[in-house]
Amino acid sequence: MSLSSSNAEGGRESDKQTADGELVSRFVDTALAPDRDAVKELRSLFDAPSMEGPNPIDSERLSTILGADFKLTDREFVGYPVGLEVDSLHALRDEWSSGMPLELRHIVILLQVLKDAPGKELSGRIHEKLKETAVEVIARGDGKTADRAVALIEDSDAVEAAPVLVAMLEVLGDDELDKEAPELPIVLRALQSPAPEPKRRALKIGGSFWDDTDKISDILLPLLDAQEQKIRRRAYMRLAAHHPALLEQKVELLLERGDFESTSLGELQFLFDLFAEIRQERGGELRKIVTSSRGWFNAASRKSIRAAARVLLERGDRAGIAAIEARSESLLTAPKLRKSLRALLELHGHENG
Amino acid sequence: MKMADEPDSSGLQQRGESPVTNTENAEPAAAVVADTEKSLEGQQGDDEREVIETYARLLVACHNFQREFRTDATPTASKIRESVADVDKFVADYADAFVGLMQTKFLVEHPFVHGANAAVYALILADALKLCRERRIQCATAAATADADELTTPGPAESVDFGDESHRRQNLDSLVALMKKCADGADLALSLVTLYEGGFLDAQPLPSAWYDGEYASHLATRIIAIARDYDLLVQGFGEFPGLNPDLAAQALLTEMGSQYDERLVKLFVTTIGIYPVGSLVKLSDKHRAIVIRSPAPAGREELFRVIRPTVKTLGGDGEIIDLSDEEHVDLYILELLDEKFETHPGARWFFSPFND
Repeated sequence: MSLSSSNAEGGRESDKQTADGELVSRFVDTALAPDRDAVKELRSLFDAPSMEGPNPIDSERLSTILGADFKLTDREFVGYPVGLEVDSLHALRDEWSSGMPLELRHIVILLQVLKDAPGKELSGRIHEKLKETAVEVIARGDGKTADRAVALIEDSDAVEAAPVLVAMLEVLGDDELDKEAPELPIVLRALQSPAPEPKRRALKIGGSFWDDTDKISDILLPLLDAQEQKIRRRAYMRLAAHHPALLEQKVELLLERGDFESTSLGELQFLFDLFAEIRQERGGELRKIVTSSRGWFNAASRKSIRAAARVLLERGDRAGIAAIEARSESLLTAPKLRKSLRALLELHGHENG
Repeated sequence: MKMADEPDSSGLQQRGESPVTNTENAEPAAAVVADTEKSLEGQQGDDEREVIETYARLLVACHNFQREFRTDATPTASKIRESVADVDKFVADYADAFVGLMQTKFLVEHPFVHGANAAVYALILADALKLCRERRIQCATAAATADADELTTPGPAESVDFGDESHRRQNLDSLVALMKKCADGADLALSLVTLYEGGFLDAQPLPSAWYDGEYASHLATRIIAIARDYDLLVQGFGEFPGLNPDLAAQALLTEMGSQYDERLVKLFVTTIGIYPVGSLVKLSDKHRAIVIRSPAPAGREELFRVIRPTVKTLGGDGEIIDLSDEEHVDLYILELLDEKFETHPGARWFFSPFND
């Protein structure tokens, strides 16, 4: 906005405030000392149409109220005993937050608009409102309502639930959750979301709830096979931290099968590293991979050897390093593998490699 | 604003008693009392003006909001919310005065006046129910914006059958109109909910298709319905000239339990009174009087009561009479006078007996 237009706008705002102030002061003066002329002038100052009538719903209701059963001349009705029970008023006040929570009502309505009155004009704002409302719910720690809100959104088919889940998880931030945490349903729902982003975010949420084997092993284990590498890595880390025995089983199975074709070198190294982290003696099993002669000429096996070698070098495993050096000098080792093992040794300062 | 621990001189004035009994210090004490009374009167005078100003600011905010709604501008309800918050500061102590101001009908039959009045009635009812401040303001702001959609689609109302698809469609159209125009967020949520639920006013469940489950209307929806309808019944609209306040209150009472939440109607009528403040009445002794106080909403421990307001007789000494007092048991309101605002003695009467 230019300075001149800003000034002009500021001037208009100032004029508007003056005009509003004048209306207020006229009203006050008239109320304190009313007379026919003052009231007439006051009315002329307000530029507004007359009220044609209430909306159809109100019209219908008011016509019922003013119908035959109610006699306008029935003045005997005056003095009607109004029974008020204090307890019932207390209960009434509590009805603000009983029944269907306000936020859920709001979400249902927004989804109805998307479904029944679609249009680009409102669509973007409705998506934002859905997110805002869901975030309000989780921010006040009402996990049950938050879960119902996401379920409503998922069922509607009109909106993607993933951005809503992500926004809710952002509110949780670095919170540590235990298995009784009210927000937990949202984290579990995110872990099972078909979209990757909620899963990625949910895996970052820490806390003792991950120790709950019944729930987490069922939800976490499928994530080890997720398509997205970041999700697999985070799932493995959670498994290593909270369910190490399950991770050991998983890697043992992997080694037994020797099927590393679909696993990247980096991921394999990460997996071996976690594996070695769980128990020191696991270093021996990694050394076995390096010294094993099985499938040396097989690309998948070479990958597992390189991954195991990297882990042993990074951990400074003397026996492991000796095994790597021996293999890097052996004529029985495939030339490509020999070369890459030497490069690894050099990289870690073992010049004699 | 009158604070909770402020000395209440009104009772003393009515009984003609002095608050000082020590005769030795009578003279200086009398001066102190005079100063105190003067100071309290001055304070009261300021409050009167401020009470009227807050209502006037709300009227102007509703006027501007609706004008912007009719034009191409994108209105914001934030000014309404601010004004409602200002009214809320006074509503606990001066509900009667606000009701009196609205009864004067200086401005009538405009949608913006209806919006402002509905907001004040909603605030009064929410306050009587002891809802927290934030909820009171939410309720009142939603009440003030509830008819905004009508401004863009004026015309004769189409017939709607309660509870069916046409009803739902109508309500949905209203909230879409509001959403398309309004930019603000937080307060709009309650407006949308109350618009969507409009028409289901008692505590009966809404048809399951509406919420994918059976739920009663939200408390705010029920509060706003009473606030809006009472004002419509009193103000009038189109060809309908409006009812006297006592009849409007009776109309609500006859419909409680069916159209309106029974407990809320009772609370509302008890709070504003069958004869709201500002009503001109003829007493059974043929004197004309103005209602200056409804039964106080606080301390209503009894299960049943007959609404008996405090009145001030017009002409002569202007005697203040609490019709609930046993000594006035034979005196009652004979009829409500249909006199127009021009003959009202002005807003200062709403604050009696303090200004007597």
